[in-house]
Amino acid sequence: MHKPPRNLLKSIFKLNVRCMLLQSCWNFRVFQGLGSLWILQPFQRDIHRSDINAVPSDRSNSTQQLKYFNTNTFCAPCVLAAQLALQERQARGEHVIIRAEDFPSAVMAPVAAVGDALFWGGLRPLAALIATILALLGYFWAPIAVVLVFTLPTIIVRIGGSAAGFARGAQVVALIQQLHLADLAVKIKQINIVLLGVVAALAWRGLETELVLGSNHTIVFAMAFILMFGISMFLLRRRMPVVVLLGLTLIVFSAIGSAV
Amino acid sequence: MTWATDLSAVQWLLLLLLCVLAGLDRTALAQSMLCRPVVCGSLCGLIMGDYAAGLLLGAAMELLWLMRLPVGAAIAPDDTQSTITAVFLFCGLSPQLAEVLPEQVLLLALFFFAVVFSPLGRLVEIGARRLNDMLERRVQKKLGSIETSHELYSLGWLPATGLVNFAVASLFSQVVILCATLASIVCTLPLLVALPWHRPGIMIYAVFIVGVAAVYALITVRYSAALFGAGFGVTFLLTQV
Repeated sequence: MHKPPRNLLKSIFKLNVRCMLLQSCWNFRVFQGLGSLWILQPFQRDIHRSDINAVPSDRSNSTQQLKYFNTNTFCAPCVLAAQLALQERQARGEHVIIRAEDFPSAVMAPVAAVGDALFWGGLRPLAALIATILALLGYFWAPIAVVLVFTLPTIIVRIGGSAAGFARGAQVVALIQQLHLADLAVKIKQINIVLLGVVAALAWRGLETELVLGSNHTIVFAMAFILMFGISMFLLRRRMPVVVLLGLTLIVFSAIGSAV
Repeated sequence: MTWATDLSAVQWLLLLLLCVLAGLDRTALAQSMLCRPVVCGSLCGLIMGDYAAGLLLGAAMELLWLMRLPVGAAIAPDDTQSTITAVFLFCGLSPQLAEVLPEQVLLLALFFFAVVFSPLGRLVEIGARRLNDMLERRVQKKLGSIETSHELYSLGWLPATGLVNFAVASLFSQVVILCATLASIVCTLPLLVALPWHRPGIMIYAVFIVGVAAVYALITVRYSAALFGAGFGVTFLLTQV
């Protein structure tokens, strides 16, 4: 285990505040590379100073290097903290299993895959669907659900990830593996599908109320509803733009409104 | 557009702040979900004095591009500025057009046009990211020239420059979508007024069905049909009681 920096809390705070701006300079050449370079600068300055005083063989190559960097924004503090921990260790002349400058390029893709699946593919739809359901049920505080379900966990992951990165260095990868975040993402996606069913049912109830359907009409309309949903799915999977489908659906429902 | 001059300076300031902060939240700053339609739509409604309309439009917009993940170089259509546009115009126009056009038709027309023009916002964001390429070249050049120095090249100016770039892009995106949506409504208003509208309320639910299909089509998990059916069935039974 790595020796954590002396002012760990201050480092975690500083790193997380700066990580909020990781994508402020996002560009097509190095993606988050500029942001990560800026985030690491004050930490590297300290290491750089101790490096200059060290004998050449112990130096940690702490000079600024602008490289391609692209990972999940919420997992980035973890990766960058681990890189800093490695760099500090190198500067102290200790043995490291992977060089600090090689660490981000080795882990950013797998960490991004896990983080993107969990946060963008799982948690964001979960928050949005809960907010949509609450809005359909008439709860005025629905938007707060987004903050509670998405923003709060991401803050915890940012802070916890950076603390783990500083404390464990390269070993943080093993910790991420142990957490089975990919499995958690799949479970959240399954919950999302259930919630989609809830939204569809609430939309159906809304249609029923609007149309004041008789029992015969209900069966016909239910079949039309299922058919419509199936056709929409089919067309979307054939890469039909959402805008076109939306226009067609509005026309069809306008016709239904006139006919019933 | 007399309603626009009736808005107070505080309202204009808050709207401007919302456009910029929500726009920055999409990529450049924090990603705290202020940019999500259900959040920024509600806030816009709150500023304009019709929270319910903002919440409804935001919730309707929320699902359409929910599964266009902001991963790597992928950029989704600008649903943030589209939602703000739709809510802003609806809150302003609905009292004026109440006598000639059903409220729900206006809401749906604005929603539809805002959705149609949201890819323009995406193009603006691509432009902002291309501008940031110049920052990269500048930094790369500077780093190359001071490689042997004992001091590190100060990058303090970097995030501020990037933020200004993205903030201007957000405002530009808002102006483009707003103008295009407003122009479309003005052009199609005679047609919308002339058409006979029966039960326009059902079309609002049609938007949610398209949203559900758009999300469902892009989530691939095992037993998805059964899970969807379970969610639908349980809710259907519970709401019948």
